[in-house]
Amino acid sequence: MKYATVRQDGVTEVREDSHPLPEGAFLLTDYQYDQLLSGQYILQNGQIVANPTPPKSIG
Amino acid sequence: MPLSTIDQTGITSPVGPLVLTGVIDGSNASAGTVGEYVSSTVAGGSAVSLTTATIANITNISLTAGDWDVSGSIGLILGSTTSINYVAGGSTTTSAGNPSLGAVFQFGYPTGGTVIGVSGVGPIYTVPTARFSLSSTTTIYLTVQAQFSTSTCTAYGVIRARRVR
Repeated sequence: MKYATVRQDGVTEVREDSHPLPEGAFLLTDYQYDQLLSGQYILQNGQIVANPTPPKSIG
Repeated sequence: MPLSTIDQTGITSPVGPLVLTGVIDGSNASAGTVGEYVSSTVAGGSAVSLTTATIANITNISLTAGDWDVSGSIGLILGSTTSINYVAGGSTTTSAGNPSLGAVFQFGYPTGGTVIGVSGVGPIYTVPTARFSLSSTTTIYLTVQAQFSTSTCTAYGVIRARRVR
C-alpha cells in the first residue's frame, strides 16, 4: 500500500508498507506515488500539485 | 519427477533442490512474512532544512521484530554558493544519531569547502545495506549531517527495508 503523510513540521513523507493505512494518510495510486517521488509534484491541502520550486536534476 | 522419496523406515528424503517461486503479479508480501517491504521517502519537493554540523532526521520507518536489510539514499539541495566541508549519513536506531560503520557513508571535501551547488544540482549519496536484527518493534532513522557555509543546504532521501527472515 502506498500513501503519503504530512508531518507536524510540514514535511511530506511518501510511504509503502503492508500495514493498515494510518489515520490522516492519503492513499496513493502508483502514478501519484511516482509523481511525488519525482520531486516535481508536492502534496498541498490533500491535492497533488506541481512543485513551484522543483529540485534541479541533471538526469 | 518425484519431489521426495520414502525409504523402508518411512523417512522422507528430498530429491533435487528446493525451488521457491517468486511472484509475478506485482503484489506485496504480507506483514510478518519473508519479503515484507517497508519504505519511507522525503522527496526533493519536501526536503528537510539542515543546520551546519548538526545531525538531522530525514525520515524513519517502523520495523516489527525480525531480521531486516535496510538501505537507502540521501540527496542534498544546495544554494548556488553553498560550500560543503563534509557530508555523512546513514541508518540508525537512534533519533538524530550517528549510524554505525557498515550503515554509514561519509565524504570529506578539500579544506575550506568546495562549491558543489552549481545550478542547484546537488549530490546524491548511497546509504549502504545494513542488517538490523530486531527482537521488538523498532524505529530506524535516516540521518544526515553536513558541515556547510555561505548558503543553504536541505536534504531528502529514502529509507527502505526488506524482511530477510
